[in-house]
Amino acid sequence: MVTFFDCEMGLGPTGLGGAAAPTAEALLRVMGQYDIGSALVYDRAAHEAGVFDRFDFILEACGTSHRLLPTIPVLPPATREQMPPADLVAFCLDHGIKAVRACPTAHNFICDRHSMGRLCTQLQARRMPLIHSSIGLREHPYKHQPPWHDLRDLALAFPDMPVIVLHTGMMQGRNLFTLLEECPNVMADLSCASFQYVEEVVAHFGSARLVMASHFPAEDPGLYTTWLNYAKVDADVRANIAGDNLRRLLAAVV
Amino acid sequence: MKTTREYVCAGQPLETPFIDVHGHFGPWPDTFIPHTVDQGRIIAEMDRYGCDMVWMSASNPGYAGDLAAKNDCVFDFAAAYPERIIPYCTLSSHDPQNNVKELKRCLARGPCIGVKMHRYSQPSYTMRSDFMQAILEILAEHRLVYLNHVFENVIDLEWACDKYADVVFIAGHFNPGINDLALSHPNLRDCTCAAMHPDAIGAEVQRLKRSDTMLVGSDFSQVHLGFGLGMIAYGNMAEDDKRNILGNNALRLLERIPWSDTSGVLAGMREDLGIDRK
Repeated sequence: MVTFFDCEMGLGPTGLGGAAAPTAEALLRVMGQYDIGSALVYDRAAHEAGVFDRFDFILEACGTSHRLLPTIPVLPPATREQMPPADLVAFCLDHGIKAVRACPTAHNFICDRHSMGRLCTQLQARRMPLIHSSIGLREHPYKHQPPWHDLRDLALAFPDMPVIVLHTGMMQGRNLFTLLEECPNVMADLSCASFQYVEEVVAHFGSARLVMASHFPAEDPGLYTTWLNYAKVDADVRANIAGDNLRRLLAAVV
Repeated sequence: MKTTREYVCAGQPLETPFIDVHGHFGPWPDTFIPHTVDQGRIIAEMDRYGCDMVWMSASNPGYAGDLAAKNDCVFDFAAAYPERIIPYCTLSSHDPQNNVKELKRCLARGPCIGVKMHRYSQPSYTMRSDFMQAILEILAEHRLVYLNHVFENVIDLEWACDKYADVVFIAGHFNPGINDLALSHPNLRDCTCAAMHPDAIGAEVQRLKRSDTMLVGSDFSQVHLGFGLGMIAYGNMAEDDKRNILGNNALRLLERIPWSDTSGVLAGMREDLGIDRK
């Protein structure tokens, strides 16, 4: 049986209705339901409400279980809504935060080397992954289209910074495969739901390029766990995608 | 016997009936689907999941290319795997005057589960539209299924359910409102396809206190088969409810279709099912 290391789980209340895990205990119950052993966790309420300078809730909640690893949102440094980039990255490392999240649609900014360059310079120096999720708060993933030009620009400008693209759009394979081919530092989740997607990425780019993200509470984690359980790949490939890739990435943060 | 969740966690083929009622087959112009027309890979994926059968319509259903050629693509696949792939005849509101002819042509090719229509890139229509009546009359005569991407006009849907009681109407994408209507219209079903929110289907079974109005669907082979099974396997509902949605409810629909007795598509599954056929 595969145990997953989930790259994206939201913790805390939601103002959008539907499922939510308001507490760490509730999230751990959800994780148990789907065989998710560990997860990179973000503050769902802060994500929706636009709170970018207070991280006490997520740090305290994740402090209750070693299975919950905190992440925080990042913004263009020019607005000074957050600490200066060097201070922010130092804060992350001091508090066990090994990946940060850029959500350019939900938080309305362009995520390229011009807007995010000063921060990405700091992230790259630490090999800290930038998790990129461009889906809107109420957007359906079927027709979602990430800002491919911006992603390419950023990944090429910072080749030693891992970029994890979440919510690639379900039908964006032609753009995603091009990005994977051109930018070895880019990884992607399983939201490109095309038939044979996992098998094809593994065949052409190797198993190190995929991670599992459940997108809870926006989506049902079973969409992704089921797929990976049945994918026609070897056991070591399945283990890489299910969690080992993410584990290695976080272990490489300096 | 193991539970559905246990099979899925182990990545083992389900051993209970698994019939996906919302699939597609053919090339897609606007997206990259690897090996999209590789019949062997599609059947191999069904085998890995233990999926007995997929009811398939055309790709870009009713809004791309030559409709007859798109239907032939699906019917040729079904002819090669007659117990695994059951075709819908895909129709379109673009060409209403030729729909009856195309439906009769498809019915003459062999087992056909019914008609699939979409909404994208075609003139608006409802179940009361003039051109629909001849289609529904033929479906009623053959006790077949009518699947639509989404029923936009619910009042006209209810009218059609009452007038064409021998047709089973299926809403193509998960919609709790359809399940509410199905309580008073026994020939209406909701497909679970794209029930994206966590445990949406489990919550729906708990709300309805029944599972006989839902059928699993996934848009396979545009997307992977887990897109249907995954929402059900982990759901907070009884094992019998999971099995109803995954296969038993569809088997009950198949059993009422005249060609199912002679085509052999149900051979083997009836024994596993244990359906009371009286």
